[in-house]
Amino acid sequence: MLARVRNWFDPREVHETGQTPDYRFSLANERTFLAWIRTGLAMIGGGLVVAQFLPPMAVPHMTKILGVALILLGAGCALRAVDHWIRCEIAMRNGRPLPPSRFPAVLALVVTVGSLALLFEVFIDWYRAR
Amino acid sequence: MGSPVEHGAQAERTRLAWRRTVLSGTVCALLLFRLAFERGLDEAGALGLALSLLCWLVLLLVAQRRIRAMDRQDPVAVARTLAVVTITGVLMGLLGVLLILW
Repeated sequence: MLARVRNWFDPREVHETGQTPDYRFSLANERTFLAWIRTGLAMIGGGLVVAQFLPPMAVPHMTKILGVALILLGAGCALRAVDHWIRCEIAMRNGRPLPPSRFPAVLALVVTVGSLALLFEVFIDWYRAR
Repeated sequence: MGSPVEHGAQAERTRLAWRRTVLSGTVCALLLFRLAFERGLDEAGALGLALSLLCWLVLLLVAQRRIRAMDRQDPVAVARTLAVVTITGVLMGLLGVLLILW
């Protein structure tokens, strides 16, 4: 893991293995990275919006908790994006299959559970306001 | 665009992906600015404002450089560029947490 983190900043090691792949594949890998970064930025932005603009909810400090959780999830997305980019780059250079990843599934689950919890919270608010 | 080796406008698509990313980063930066101004620019607010402005400028600069040099193949430079973009994103998130909680 630490060796991979080192590779983010000193990528020469990575570019000495195998052969440079077709530039189209490199650019596609770069676009995938950018798409994940945008996903992360959207979550960070969403967290900032939640913390700034949502009225207080039934559970105390819920907007702050939700905002910070979204921001941390977004930051995790960004870190994972660069890690996945490096792993794909190494795989492509060595002609190996692209690395499998559980991350999209885990992210989908987290977002689903979060939405359900939020829905629950909205119903509590609605019930109390009646 | 007219060059025969260019298949599917790959460079153009990648440039546009960079532009979209800068746009997303700009939205985040604006939200951070608002969060910093809203608390009246105390120590944490001023620090948050300065650092988020820095993050945004770095993202802008790095993306502009990459967009200009899309046709030049330099994988090591690209890897560093992507690492810098990741750091600006994560730093913006951490600044958000700082401004929300402190």
